[in-house]
Amino acid sequence: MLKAAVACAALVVLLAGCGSSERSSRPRELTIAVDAPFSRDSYLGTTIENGVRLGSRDTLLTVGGDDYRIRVVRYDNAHSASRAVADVRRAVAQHAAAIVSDGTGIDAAWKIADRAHIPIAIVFDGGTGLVDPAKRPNVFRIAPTDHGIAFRFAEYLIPKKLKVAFLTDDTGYGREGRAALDHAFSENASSVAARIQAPSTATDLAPQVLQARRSGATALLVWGQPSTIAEALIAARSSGWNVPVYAPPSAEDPLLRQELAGHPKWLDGLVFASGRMTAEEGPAPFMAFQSAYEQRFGAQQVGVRSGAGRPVVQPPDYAMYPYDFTHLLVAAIQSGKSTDPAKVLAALNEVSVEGANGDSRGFNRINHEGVVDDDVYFARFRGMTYAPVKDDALSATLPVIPQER
Amino acid sequence: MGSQRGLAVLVVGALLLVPAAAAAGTITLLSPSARTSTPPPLVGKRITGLAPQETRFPGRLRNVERIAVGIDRSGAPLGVVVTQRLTISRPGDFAFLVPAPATKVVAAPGSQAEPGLRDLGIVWQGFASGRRVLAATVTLAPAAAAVLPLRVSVERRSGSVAVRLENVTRGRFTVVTGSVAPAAVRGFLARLRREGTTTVVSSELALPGRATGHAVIGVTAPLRVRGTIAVPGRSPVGVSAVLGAGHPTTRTFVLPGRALPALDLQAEPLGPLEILPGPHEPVSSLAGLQQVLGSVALAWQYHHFLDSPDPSGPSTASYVYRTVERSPLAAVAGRSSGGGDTLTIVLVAVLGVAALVGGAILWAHL
Repeated sequence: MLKAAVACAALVVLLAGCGSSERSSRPRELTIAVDAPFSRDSYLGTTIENGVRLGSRDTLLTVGGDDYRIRVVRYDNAHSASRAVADVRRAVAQHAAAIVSDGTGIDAAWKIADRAHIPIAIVFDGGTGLVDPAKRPNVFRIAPTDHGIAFRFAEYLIPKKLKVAFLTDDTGYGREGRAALDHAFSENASSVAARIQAPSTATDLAPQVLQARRSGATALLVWGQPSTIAEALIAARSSGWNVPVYAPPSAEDPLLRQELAGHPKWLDGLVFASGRMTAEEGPAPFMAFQSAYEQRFGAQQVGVRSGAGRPVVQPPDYAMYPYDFTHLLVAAIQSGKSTDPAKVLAALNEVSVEGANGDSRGFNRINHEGVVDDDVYFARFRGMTYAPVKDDALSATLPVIPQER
Repeated sequence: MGSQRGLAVLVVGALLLVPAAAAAGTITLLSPSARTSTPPPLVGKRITGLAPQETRFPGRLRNVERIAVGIDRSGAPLGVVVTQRLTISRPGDFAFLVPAPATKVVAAPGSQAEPGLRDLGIVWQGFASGRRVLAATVTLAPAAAAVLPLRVSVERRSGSVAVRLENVTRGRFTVVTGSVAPAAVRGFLARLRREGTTTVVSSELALPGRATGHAVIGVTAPLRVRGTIAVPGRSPVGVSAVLGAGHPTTRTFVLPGRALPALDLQAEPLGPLEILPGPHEPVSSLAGLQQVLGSVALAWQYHHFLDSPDPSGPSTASYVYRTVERSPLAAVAGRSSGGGDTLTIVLVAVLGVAALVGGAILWAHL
């Protein structure tokens, strides 16, 4: 009985290899699964999904005589690692061509996708260790890394002779940021006045901000969720401490500006680090991308008004990354001339595309980071909008992206 | 900017190889930065089927290469590792690929960026806020040894050991034949000596003269070789020789005794100013001038064992040959393709038989 079953299975395998050479009339589907915290951070989840949708719009791939179009499926991980693992299992069951994730739960989920040779693209979380081509060959990232942001902060702040207090929250994002900052400033310990952790659920950070002030800090670097940055600013400014405040890319989240809408002056001067939106050739590529994005999904309204009283919109910079990855995936399929996951995975190491910001975007066999550390720039808020700073070599070369409508 | 300049140089080089004189009464000279169709520079493991890589860099790039060649006691290459240092001197974005049949790449000490690796070669990308050093240590596939400029062979003879150093650089160019006025030749050479050979534009390569046809010339890139040949119990024998440029392209050093020596040699292609005849050295003919220009061009190629995205930028390469002891693993890895194939066939056969036997046993127990 068992022998018969084995023989039948072998026959099925043999017959499966003898497919029809006729070209199917309807395009087949290639699924890209988007796993993001839609219910917990709607802005981030929607931005990622929209980036993938924009990157795959009108894409009709012809591979091996078959036509394919891309289908986007969304899963809500709600910032929960266990939900992210379940989502990845579902994506694998659906034979997804790729999984695009904010980064939640990847430490636990990457192996599940790796067994099926499915690439995972992280497009927000910059945590060190998430990406390792040797150990996690299927994990890629297009987003500024915590390592890059922290080292750029060290490069930017240490020459200013500031005494910096690190205020990080207890989320994974905050803890990863703290580790990256500790590493980046390890050679200049005297530049660090204090290292303080705050609960992400706190609605008043006055004690932590007071601790920072008493440490003799002349600058505050807040690495955490947008609400943490908002609470830190409220605590500092309401107590009359006009200390310069620095923050990671989460400061771009409209939530921060919404929380400070009643005190827009408190936001003025906040400097945050992020991936640059424009390359050397100027703003035209990003503006074209932004225009296409807004045409399809509408402008990302922040919900506040600028100093001139006009509505503020958020440039879709974090949509660039899933958009670029989608293009890289298509390029890899075309280069490998196959939708076979293993071949696509290998080809992802060999292809480049022009990114939404005009920069060349791609991975290679020993580096799966799509945003190099050099591309981290600094921007300063003024009147609820932000502009690149002038006292940093890269940032000084960058144009201001309009944010008023 | 840089990519346009690079493209312009290549186009100029290609145009100069077109077998036609520029106009009646003029002779088109070989460009001193023309390239033969064969390496160096090296090419990647794959050269087709992939989209071209963007090439962008600010200003000029300085390229310095050290090619470390491990040789066994017979002089045969066991491995080639290149350390390439590219220096950017102006602020701006950079993104380019250095073609290489690389099996491994790591950032070299002092590098201010991390290199990447693809089938096509080494990739660099980032932003330079000013001067920036991009340095990589690259382990090359064994086939790269075939492109080395110096062949070393060590063999025992009766009561002695002969160490033979041979300049194996060879290049062929198609050039215009005919005659030119001696004064024009002198003026042309003086300008090259004064202004350098890498920035010559095509209009400067047209001299008044009478073209008679075309010829294919063979040239070598002169090498300066320095170092030591050491035998246990004896003082090391110093080596200082130029191979080519009017000197023999082969030198043999004979050492008494039977012990195979350890070699530590450095070979450098001569620079253009060392190859070009001096102000008081007459060049008797157009053919002689084209030959000199061919040598300069070929030497310039060997100064780019790994290419630079700025082929006109300053570049130097030194090839360091050192005797290394062959480990058992290296012996297998360094074996010729025939030997490697044999090993593979034996392994596959053994594994195949084992799989068949295992399958039969499994089937019997089902």
